[in-house]
Amino acid sequence: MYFRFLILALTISGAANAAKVDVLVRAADGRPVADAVVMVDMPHRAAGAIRFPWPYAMNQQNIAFVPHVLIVPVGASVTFPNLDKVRHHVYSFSKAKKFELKLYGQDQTRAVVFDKPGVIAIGCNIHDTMSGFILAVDTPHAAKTDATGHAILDVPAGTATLDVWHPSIRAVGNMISAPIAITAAGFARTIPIG
Amino acid sequence: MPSSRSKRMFLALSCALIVAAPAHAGEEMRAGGKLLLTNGISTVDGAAGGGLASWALIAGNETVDGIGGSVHATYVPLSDYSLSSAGAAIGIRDRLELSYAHQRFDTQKTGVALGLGRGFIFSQDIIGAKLRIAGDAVTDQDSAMPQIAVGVQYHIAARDAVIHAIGGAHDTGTDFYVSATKVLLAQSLVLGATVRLTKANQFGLLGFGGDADDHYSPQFEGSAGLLVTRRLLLGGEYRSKPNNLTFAKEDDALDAFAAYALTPNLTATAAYVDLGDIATVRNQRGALLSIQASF
Amino acid sequence: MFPFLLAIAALAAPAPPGEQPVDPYTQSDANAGATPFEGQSMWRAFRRQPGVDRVIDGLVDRLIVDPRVADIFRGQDIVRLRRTLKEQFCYILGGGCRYTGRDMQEGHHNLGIQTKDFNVLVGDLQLAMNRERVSIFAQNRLLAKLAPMKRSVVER
Repeated sequence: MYFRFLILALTISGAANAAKVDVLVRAADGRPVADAVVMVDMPHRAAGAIRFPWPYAMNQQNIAFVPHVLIVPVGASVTFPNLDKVRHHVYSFSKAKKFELKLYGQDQTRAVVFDKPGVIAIGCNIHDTMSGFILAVDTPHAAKTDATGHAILDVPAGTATLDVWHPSIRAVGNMISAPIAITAAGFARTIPIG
Repeated sequence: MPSSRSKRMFLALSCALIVAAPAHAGEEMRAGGKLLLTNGISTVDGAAGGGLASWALIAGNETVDGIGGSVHATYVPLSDYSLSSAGAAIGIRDRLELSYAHQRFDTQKTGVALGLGRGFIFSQDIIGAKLRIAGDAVTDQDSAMPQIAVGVQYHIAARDAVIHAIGGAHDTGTDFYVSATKVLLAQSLVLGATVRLTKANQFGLLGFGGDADDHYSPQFEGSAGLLVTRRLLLGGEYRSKPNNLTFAKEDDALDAFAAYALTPNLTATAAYVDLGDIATVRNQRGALLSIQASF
Repeated sequence: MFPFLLAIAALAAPAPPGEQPVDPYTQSDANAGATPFEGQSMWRAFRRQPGVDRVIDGLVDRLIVDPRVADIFRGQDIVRLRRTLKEQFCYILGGGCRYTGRDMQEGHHNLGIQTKDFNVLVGDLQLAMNRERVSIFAQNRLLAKLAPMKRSVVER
């Protein structure tokens, strides 16, 4: 009785097959790389909208884009709050979304829908040093590496494709892709880049 | 006895001044870029400057951030001849200027006396390049430093048979010059000085070098103007010329001018000009009327 | 002890009415970016403070609607701008005011001002001075002091 209840609960939670994928992204000199994006593409994607637990907002603050890298689901509307007193003129020439926004000081009102998957490199026409990236992804399994270089995802066991993105990766789309097999015990790999 | 010729000149001048001083539609000036009158007008050779003297300023209304340019047409009716020029210039990032001008010199009735035929025309094409190498005429108000540019003008004169017949050595020639221009806003003055290495006879219309002298000689051009209103510059110019031909003495040129910015894109200039003796005919004086559109 | 208390007081002082606070900075007349004219002739040519106020208000009124530069001023503290410009002009023209604003570089930092924007400001200032019937020669004398500020104001 108890066992049946436990298995039912685990099946409903979908955690029955979930395993920990731990990817460490490292530079050639061994140092951890933060703000790389790690994605796992499953052959069969679970139904339902993709949702990430962070706000879909690309702030301009102290003449910088915050966060430097933002992951959003394809189709998301991303706001561009200008938290500075000065104006910003945000633009992108990336194929996945070309746009430009004039944002006056303290302007919280603008948003852009990212309807195609891809990497959108953004800049500011007025402040050359500003640079940021928006990754519109169509997998729920996506995360940025932290200061230790690690990104940890909960992914169902099975075969999948591991994608790692970072501007310093010298490959098409700044992306490394590799087929992987995730066991019930999980998956760990160190990805050297650059 | 007031000749019909001088009456015509007076009419032409008056018309120019009437055109130059309309009641402009509203004060709002809608063009970006340079301050009014800070790109000069176009010289008869096509470079940015006064009417006769080249300046260190770069053509067009654009600043360091852009590419601009200008087109001009100039008519100089003199006592016994007329000179006209038309051309265009491009100003790149307030640094490099490329220019072209076509000059026509109409001998009118005097062509007969010269044995060339009535209305015989001399002409030339001038291709120029000018590079600003130092200074900013408007910004550097707190220093004595002028804006300095170096330039080159390549001339191709027509009528090479006649040119050789009158003692001219070449029908093509290259001028090299250095210009310094200073805007003294505290005195409302615009000052310019240019040194030009040239062999040109009558600006190049009568060829280059000659039977008297076929060497480069340094010639001087100077300008001084007073900014009387935001749109009006009154001034004078002087341009010295070499004497390379034995058949006719060549004089230095002078003018007194008024340049008026009708709009940020349109400047009209009227001047009294004295080119001295030209091809043995004395005292060639008259008007210089010029219109320049810039962007 | 007393200067220390003054400094604390300056930090704690609220922004003047209608203005937003700015990050603390060292106040100095030298921030005005130019030395004042000697004597009173320029101050009189601009009709003293009432004339300067009209010129500055006329200038700012034009700038905020001038399509070539209006974007730079949107979302900025226009009340403070009017006050500090009036102080700056009064100081430079020999009117004896203290200039309490920031220096030219800091005051324009990160606004993305280009050379053509600076020239638009000069053009609009000329129109405002014309409206106030300041003589062209007095106008050009003032512009001679303002022109070198282009180096600090233009960042882009």
